[in-house]
Amino acid sequence: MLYIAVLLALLSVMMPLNSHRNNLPRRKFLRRGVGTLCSLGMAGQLAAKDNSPLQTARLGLIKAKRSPWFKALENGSISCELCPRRCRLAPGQRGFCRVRENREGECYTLVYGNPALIQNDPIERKPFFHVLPGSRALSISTAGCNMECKFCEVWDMALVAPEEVYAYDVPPHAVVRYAREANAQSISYAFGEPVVFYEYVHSIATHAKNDSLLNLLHTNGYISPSPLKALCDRLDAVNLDLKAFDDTFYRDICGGELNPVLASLQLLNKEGIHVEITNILIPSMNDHPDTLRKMCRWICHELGPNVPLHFGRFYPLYKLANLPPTPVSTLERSREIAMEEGLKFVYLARVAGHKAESTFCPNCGTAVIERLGFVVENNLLKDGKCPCGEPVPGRWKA
Amino acid sequence: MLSCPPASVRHVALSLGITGQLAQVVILRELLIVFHGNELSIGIILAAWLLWTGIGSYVGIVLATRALDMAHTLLMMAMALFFVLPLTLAFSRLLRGFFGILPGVYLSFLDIACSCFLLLAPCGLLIGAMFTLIVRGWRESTGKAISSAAGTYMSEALGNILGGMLFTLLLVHYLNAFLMILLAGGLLSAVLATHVLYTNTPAFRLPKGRLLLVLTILVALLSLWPLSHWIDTTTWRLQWHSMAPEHSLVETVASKYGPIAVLCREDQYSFYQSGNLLFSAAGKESELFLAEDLESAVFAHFAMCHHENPRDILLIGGGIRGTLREILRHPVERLDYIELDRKLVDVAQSYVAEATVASLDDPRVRVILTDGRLFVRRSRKTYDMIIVDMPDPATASMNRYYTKEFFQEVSRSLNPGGMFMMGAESTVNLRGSAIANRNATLFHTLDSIFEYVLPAGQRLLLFIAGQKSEIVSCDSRLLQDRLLERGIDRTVFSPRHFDLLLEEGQLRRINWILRHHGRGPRTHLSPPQSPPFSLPGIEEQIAQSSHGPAVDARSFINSDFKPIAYYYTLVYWGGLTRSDHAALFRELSHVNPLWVLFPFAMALFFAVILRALVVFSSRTWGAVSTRYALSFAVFTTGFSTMTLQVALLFVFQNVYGFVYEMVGLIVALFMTGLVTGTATAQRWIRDKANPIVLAKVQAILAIYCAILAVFLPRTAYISSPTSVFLLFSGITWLSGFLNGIDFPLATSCCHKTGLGTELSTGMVYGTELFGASLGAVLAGVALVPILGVAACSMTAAFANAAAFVIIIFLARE
Repeated sequence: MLYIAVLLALLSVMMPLNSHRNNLPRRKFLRRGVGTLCSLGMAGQLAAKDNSPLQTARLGLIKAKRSPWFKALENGSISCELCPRRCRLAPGQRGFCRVRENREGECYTLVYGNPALIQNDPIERKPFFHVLPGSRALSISTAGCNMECKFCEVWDMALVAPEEVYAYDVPPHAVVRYAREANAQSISYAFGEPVVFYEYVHSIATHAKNDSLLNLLHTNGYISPSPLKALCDRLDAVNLDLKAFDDTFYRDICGGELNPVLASLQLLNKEGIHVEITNILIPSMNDHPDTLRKMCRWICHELGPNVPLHFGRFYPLYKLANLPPTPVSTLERSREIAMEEGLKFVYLARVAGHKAESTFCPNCGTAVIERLGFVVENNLLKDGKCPCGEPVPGRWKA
Repeated sequence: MLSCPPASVRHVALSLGITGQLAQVVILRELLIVFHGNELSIGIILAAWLLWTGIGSYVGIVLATRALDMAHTLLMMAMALFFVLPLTLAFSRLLRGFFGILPGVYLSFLDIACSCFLLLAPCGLLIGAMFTLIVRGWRESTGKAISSAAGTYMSEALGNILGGMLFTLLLVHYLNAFLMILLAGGLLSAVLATHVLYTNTPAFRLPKGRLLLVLTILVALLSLWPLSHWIDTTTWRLQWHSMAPEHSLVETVASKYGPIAVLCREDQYSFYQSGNLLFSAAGKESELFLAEDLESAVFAHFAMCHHENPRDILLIGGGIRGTLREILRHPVERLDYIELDRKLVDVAQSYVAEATVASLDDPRVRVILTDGRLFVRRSRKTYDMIIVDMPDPATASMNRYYTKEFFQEVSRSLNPGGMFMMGAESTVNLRGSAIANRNATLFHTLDSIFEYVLPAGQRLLLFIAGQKSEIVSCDSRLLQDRLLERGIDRTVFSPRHFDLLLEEGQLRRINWILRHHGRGPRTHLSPPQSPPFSLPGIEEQIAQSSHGPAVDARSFINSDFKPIAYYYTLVYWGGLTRSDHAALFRELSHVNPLWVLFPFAMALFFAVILRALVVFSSRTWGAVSTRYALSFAVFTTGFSTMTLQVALLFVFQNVYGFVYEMVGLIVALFMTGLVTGTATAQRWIRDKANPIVLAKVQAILAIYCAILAVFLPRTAYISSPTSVFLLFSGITWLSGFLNGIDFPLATSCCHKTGLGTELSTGMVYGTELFGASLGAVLAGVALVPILGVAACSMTAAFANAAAFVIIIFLARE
């Protein structure tokens, strides 16, 4: 009997120990088993009083719609034709991007109208430096991505399935309405990967165009030519992430391919869409001067010397958490190389306060637009021209 | 009285202890670098070491029961160890390169476990086997069975103490890792060889010819000594080549807090400690140090501009990365800068920008080399601003700067109108549950002590806290004006940075998420709610949240005794590896603490079955059931002692402060207690050993652990550091003592059930090590971080209580 008494004594010591440690009365301690419903309800109470769908995100919200971008194969399988991956999907199977599915022999997108991110930002944040400076853009993005970069900044939204994120219920026409209410002049499909929510982009872009809003895309460019072409007449500007001018890097670090991305750039150029390029320089991985020179030469030759190029600084994160940040001198050197190869507008991103965040007139060298981060401090352009008369290419008016 | 074998046998056991301890510490420090300083890996490395040593002792049983030439076998094993140890060290450095692991990548739990278990097998097996063989040698030279077991155990423990102290006080300062490991292996081989040469014991004699051969090989191997420096440097270079390619390894410094490596790329210098990136800074030749050290500048100026008239400042950490330099641009009168690691400060001064070095010599600055927690607790001085620029709470030691207790101490040390500032890593939208849990915990913990807390930022989340709402401001205009008033040059740091930092949209979103997440039960199990599109301003958010439901303190308040922020950071790191262990960790947080009792319930259930079998057939099952009870008791002793030790070290560090030598001394005291316990038990048992005595020891251990569970959290209120040290020394010594008593008792009882000496010893030693192995991994990985210190001690208590019950139940006769 002694041992049972000991056990009971020990048990009774443990119980009050818990509640005392947390300074909670016993009642609340027992309530622990209630569940998430309670907390969700509370959260709903705390939100702003407006009951619009934009105010309450739901975990795992899925909005499916049939997509035309696929080819039927035998036995109910399909080949998704949206991006060069060309995933072969058996019935019920999902693609690499996690947001496209084979339902009964047809391709369905699971992200038509359920953005995980919808926010109002300065346009310089995307970054677009030669489009409506100082204006605001409504950014929208869903879960999913068709690459898997080891230095992904938004991995907790892009590299997860839509069941794992909170999403808002926003049909395409509503996006435009919210953009207007937020005094945005453009809609940007950014932060996530717009290629994977293509159908949603296409619909919103159509509504936006009808309402005189600009459509801005920030993409990895890993898309098949046909869908890209079909989107072009609705696009106003594209910022393309050129991860590296090296196919090995694309395969090993990003899980993608270089050539389809270059093809996308060429197509956009041919369609006359304003393009800006972003390149994050990761020390020792894609910052070699020779490769950079080849890249700048290609850009200058294929797309012209007026394409703005943003060299971004890498900071340790995600899977490359213990690699030091890019030395600023590497960024400056890369910028010099780019300008030597003929590119006129080369910027350094994520080094707030650096003079290379400002736009300089290619003729007289005046800082026509001064920036710090995404804050525009000064804009001397008149009708898209420097005070000295030199035109600076860009989309300066809506 | 212990019957004494020739001194040389005791020396062999002693040197096994020294060698084992030295090897363990050196290899542990090396492996920690490979795993980027992930503290989780310490538990795994220890567990792997203990497990293999345990298996080794079982292998030793097999060898010892054969008619082997003892001296020969032991000497061969020692020589094999001499080879194996430097090879293990070399392999651990080349591990990442060998498996083609990308630079900067954290390894997953499974990867760490597999590599440790593979790497540590050879040396663990050898050391374990040698223990059992020495027991046999001891027995053959004295003729006494049990005292040989106890004697070997004690001598080995003494060796452990010596080895540990040798390392901490002497070797780490002068020798490189390879030299230390060669010393360890060489010592054992030399002692054995000498013993074999000069022994009179028939058991240890070796034919002269073979002996000469052995000695020649030994001498040849020792010639590796002068090569050690070259091997050390080359393996370092290869390792760092795979960890940070195209960065040249400029210097390595052996600090007692972990090996420091300085890497250089162009004009940027990066400082790593135990493989973890501490910070990067511009070098002396750099013209861009303002751009390079931007993060520390933002940190410094954001903090300083919040205060109207900051004159007395306390800065903990971060000085050498540029924060100190930037703070001094403000009209500061007195600044106390606390840094723990002197070697880091010294080596950094050789490489960082001149302006940063000059700031250390500024007459307003007092550089104090001590533990920050210790300083804040003892200091009677008050400050206008306290700034903590430390790494994230990714280790138990770092977690101390993010706890409720620390914030209370900080609050006491602030002048009226004073403010506190700290930072932590974050993600763009705080979407993932681990990072949101961690940062919400930091926010709520701060919020529970300070009246007004403002989080701001994106990749780096800054928290500024004060006791009055008028002081903490999210008005970037006010901050900009102060910056300009103080005459800080625009080219150095532009006021516009405040516009970036306090951009309204981002600020409202981050505040909404942090203020809402964690209210209500079980919210830590799912990702944070996404904020609504049109968000109220900060003032309104604060007003709303004060009417909302209370924060779930159990999961969202970080404390010294329940380090939940540390746990979430580990989960976050795990999530980054995208391996299944992240899911495992999340499942662990679902676990109701009472489920920890489940394995003990299983053990009890087994006991019931065995009892039934004994009733059925006493002859076959009697001995088995007794051995089961004894094994279980020994297992739980190993388990609970290790668990308790982990908890104790954790608390000691929190309460006393992280001073490396003190921790080493505490561990040495444990071993001293162990030796004393073993000796005491030896003196008293003789033929009196029986399972009931063992059961009583288990009961005492159980009650002891339970008392500690209640008592440990209260140690936070003891103010005198000497009292704290004495108290913890006493507790640790007592734990060692109780553990030590266990060994000879158990061995004796096992022997009485009919098992041979080596078999009993090996079995008991091995099982105790298995228990310790499980305790190391469980306590370090799960119990302390998730359940906290008190629950950890209670688990230990339950383990021993279960053992008590089982012995009483099964081994009555």
